[in-house]
Formats: sequence, structure tokens, C-alpha cells
Amino acid sequence: MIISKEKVNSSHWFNRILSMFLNDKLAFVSIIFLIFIVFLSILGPSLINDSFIKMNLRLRNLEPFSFEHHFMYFFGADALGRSMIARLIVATQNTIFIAGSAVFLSMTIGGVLGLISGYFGGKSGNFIMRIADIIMSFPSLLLAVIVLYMFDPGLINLVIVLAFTRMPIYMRTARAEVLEIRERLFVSAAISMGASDSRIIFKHIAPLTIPTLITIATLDFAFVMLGESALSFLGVGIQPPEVTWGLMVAQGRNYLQIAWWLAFFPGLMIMLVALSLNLLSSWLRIVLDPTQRWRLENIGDKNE
Amino acid sequence: MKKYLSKRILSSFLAITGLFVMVFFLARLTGDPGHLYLPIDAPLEVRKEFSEKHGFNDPIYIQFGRFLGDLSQGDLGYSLRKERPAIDVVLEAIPVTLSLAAVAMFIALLGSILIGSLAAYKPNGVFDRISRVISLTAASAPDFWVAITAILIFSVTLGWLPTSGIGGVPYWIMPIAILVIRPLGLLVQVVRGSMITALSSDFIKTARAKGVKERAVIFKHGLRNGLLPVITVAGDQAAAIANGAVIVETIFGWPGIGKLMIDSILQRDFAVVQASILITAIVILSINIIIDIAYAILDPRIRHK
Repeated sequence: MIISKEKVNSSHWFNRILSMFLNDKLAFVSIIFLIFIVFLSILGPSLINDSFIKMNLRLRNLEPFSFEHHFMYFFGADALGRSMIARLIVATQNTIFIAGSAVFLSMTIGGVLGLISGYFGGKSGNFIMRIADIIMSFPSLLLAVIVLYMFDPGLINLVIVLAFTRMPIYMRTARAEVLEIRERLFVSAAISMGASDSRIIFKHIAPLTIPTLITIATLDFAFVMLGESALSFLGVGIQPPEVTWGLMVAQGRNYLQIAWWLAFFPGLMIMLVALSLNLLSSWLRIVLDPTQRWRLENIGDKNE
Repeated sequence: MKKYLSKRILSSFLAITGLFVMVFFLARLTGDPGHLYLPIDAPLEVRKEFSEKHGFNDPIYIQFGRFLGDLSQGDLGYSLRKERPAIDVVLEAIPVTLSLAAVAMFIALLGSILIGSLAAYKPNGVFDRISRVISLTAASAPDFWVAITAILIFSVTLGWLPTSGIGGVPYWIMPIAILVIRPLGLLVQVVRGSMITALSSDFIKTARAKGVKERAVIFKHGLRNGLLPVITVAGDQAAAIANGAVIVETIFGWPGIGKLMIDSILQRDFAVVQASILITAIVILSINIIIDIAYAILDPRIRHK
């Protein structure tokens, strides 16, 4: 999507993206960090085996940054003597999986609903948008608490609730995009050639909305992750013995005075991942906007 | 404009109704309040009597009908937990949250307009870069984590501020600060973006060309035009601040609407859950309508439509 037009340019598209990354140092660091987190969430738990449930009561609330013990205890140990590093890694997998599936769900469903609503317009289109208004007009956290309390907190329900509350954003964006794209010449051409509605929506219009939706999804990932942590913190999110960063903060809260690291490190992880996503998304916005892209391209070479 | 506003009010009304119906049925599905409010060894008769007295044993549609009838007379039900009319309980909690939210929003708006405009004045300058990293960090911070870390530092270790409760100014500092952080981070980004657009418009060049002072150029010509998108986002932040209030009130023990709702949900106090959701939704939607009006006042193009 980024490279489509400028085939004239000599360099390979990969090099172009790389140079755009290198011209924004913060975005570059963020993407490296995010790749590391994704790697950790996929492979991490299998690397540490069972050490995330292994208790060592002699190391209860072990202080961080000491080299006396195994390196797994470098960030200290929790109230049951379990290694903080191992627990953080397992929590990474859960947190990333929950936020990732929720964002994917809400982007697909919300995007499709928005496409349909924008393309057909009229009463059904308006009805879909009114639903979006209802969802948006109320604090999502409270709705989620009510629903989770009713249906039992758990992984699947958590994902569904988070996806549901974030859907309106994609519905609105996709609809706004479609309303504009629908009027373009190539859509009229497709209509005059007798293409069916579904073909026009999914083959001609949908691909053009995807870059915008992805940019929003990057930002939304951070938002969903913060939402999940807040729910887990309030006790209606994921339940022990499963663990996410939010739940680790909640559990660490009781030991705040004697072991600050229990709540501090997981919270720090949440913030660093959210921050990286924010930085990446602001980079994406520039890259995907042709009128701004020059800011990141070949800064040294002004002739282009 | 009038037509637009009346349409807006109508759709807000529909939204509240939809939300309300949803919450009524969801709340009823959470289980029998009798289990929570009666002793565990209460005999069957007592349980029956309890259910009958509060009407929990009727079919749900009859409960709903009765509830609508009461509502039309302004009766929002009776709080099981506090043994008082639900509306009184809610109206007691609302001012606490509103004052908290109003102060936080005021600080967030003022701060973001100042920082955002200064950052937009020289895009990619030193100040812009620093404010970008700081504001994005603020927007990424999990509020509950910042709250307990702040308690650890300022209350436990340094002993400067009280850990929780309400009272004089010291009690306000941490809750407000926590509530401000995320909206401030988001709004700085929005102000910066719209100010960059506004400051590169032709009317700014005209103003400079005719010799208007630089400060007036930014804050009078630029800001008035750059403020419009900010107001829209600030409206969305009303719901977000309510989210933040839930966390802040739970952690700092403030008797506001967020804490009230969480407590009532956990204790199946249906009447209070419904009443507080109704009131909160009305407050949020009225804020949105007020913002629409503010928009019209600031932008003559909308006013004259």
C-alpha cells in the first residue's frame, strides 16, 4: 500500500520503508520493542517451561536487581516466591492475545458493518450508526463490568466485551470512507459493468479503507490493552491462576508497602507497549499520508 | 441549527432508552439478590417473602412494565443496600464525580491548549519533540498503575498526601492528577495537529502581513480556528473521564458515581445500578449537546446553516 505508486524510484520498497523508519528514531525503537514483545508472547512461555508456577518459598518477595540467585529472579519474586520474569512472560502472552483478538474482532465486524452502512445508506445504514451512538454514549468500562459480572469473567467473554465496546470507532471510520469512495469514478465504472453489490464492496471499496482502519487499530490496540488491564484490576477481567499484566498490578497492590516491584514492573510493561504503539501509529499516519510522507523520505536528498 | 439540535436531542433520547432497556435485562440476569441480602440459612418462607416484597418473582416482562410505570412517576426504585430511594443515593454521588471531572477536564483543556499551541508553533522543534514524547507517554499510562505508584511515593514513602478519602485540598491533588493524565496526553496531540493546520492557513499569513502581534496571531487567529476539532474530541473525553472516575474513585475511596456503580453491580442493587446509569447517560449526552452548541457559537459557518 505504501509503495504502489512510485515504481519509478530506483530503490527497493523494503529499503524505502527501512529508511523511513530510520528517519524516525522513536518509531524505529518502538517497532523493535514491539517485535520483541510479539516474539516473547509467542515463544516465551515454551522457553521457560513451568517456572512460572514453580514456587520457592525461601525467595518470597525477593528484591529485584540482585545477582545472587538464578537470572530468572533478576526482577525479583512474588509473594509465593515465583519468578517475576517468568510470570511477566506468561502474562505477555495472555495480554497480547486478548488485546489482539479483541482488536481483530472489532476491526473486522465494525469495518464490515461500516462498509455496509455506508454503501447502502438509508434506513438500515442509519440504524447501524444509531447503535454505534448508543455504545459510544456510555462509559465502556462500566458496561464491560456489568456484562462480565453477569456472564462470568473469562478469556472469551473478555475478548467479546472488549471487541464490542470498541466497534463503533471502526464503524464510523469505515462508513465515512465509503461515503467518499462510493462517489468515485471507478465505482461507477464497476456498477455500469454490472458488478454485484458484494463484489463492489469487498473488491473495490474495502481495500481502500484498510490502511485507515489499520492505523486506527494500532492505536486501538493500546486502548484495548489499557481497558483489559483496568477490568482485570477491578477483578472482573481474567481470573487467577491465569495472569495478565493488569491482574499482576492488582495482585501487587496488596504488597505495595513491602514489595513495590510486584505492581511496578507489569504496569511498566503496559505503559511501554502502549507508548510504542502510539509512536508507531503516529509514524504510520505520516507514511500513509502522501502529502506528509516526504518528511520521512530521503531527508538528505532534496532533489526528489 | 434548531432543527439539528432537536434532531440531536431526539436521538440522544433514543440512545438513553436503548441503553436503559439493555441494562434492565442485563442486571436481572446477574442472579437473585436474595442470596446476597438474606442470611445463608434463611428459611424458604423468608426468601419467598423477600422476593415477593421486592417483586423479584414476577416474570421479567411484568417487572419491566411495573418499572416503566414507576419511572413515569419519577420513581426509580428502592436501594436494597442503603434502604433508601435509589435516586437519592445517586444524586448524592453525582456532585462528587462531577466536581472531580470538571476540575480535571478544565486543567486538561487549559494545559493541552497551551502545550499544544506552543508545540505547533515550531513543528519538529525541540519543544515539539519533547512534548510529543511526554504527551504520548501520558496517553499510554495505565491510570490505576499510576495511581498506586503515586500513593506509594507521595503517601507511603514521603508522607506528603493522604492515601485516600475526601476532605481538603491535599485529598484532591492525587485523584485530579491521575484523572488529568490521559485526557491531557490525548488532547495535546489533537491541539497540536489542528493548530499546525490552522497556523499554515492563508488568514494567518494575512494577519502577519498586516502586522498583528505574534501572540495575537497564535492565540486569537490561530486558536479560534484550531479549537474546533479539539472541542469535538473533548466531548468524547466526557465518557472517558467517567471511565477514569471509576478507577480513581475505587482506589482513592471517593463516594462518587463510579464507585457507587461498581459497588451496586457487585451487590446486585438493581435499582441503584439503573438509576446511576440513567443519570450518567443523561449527563454525558447533555454535555455532548452543550458541545454542539459551543461549536455553533465558535463557528459562524455552522450557526448560519
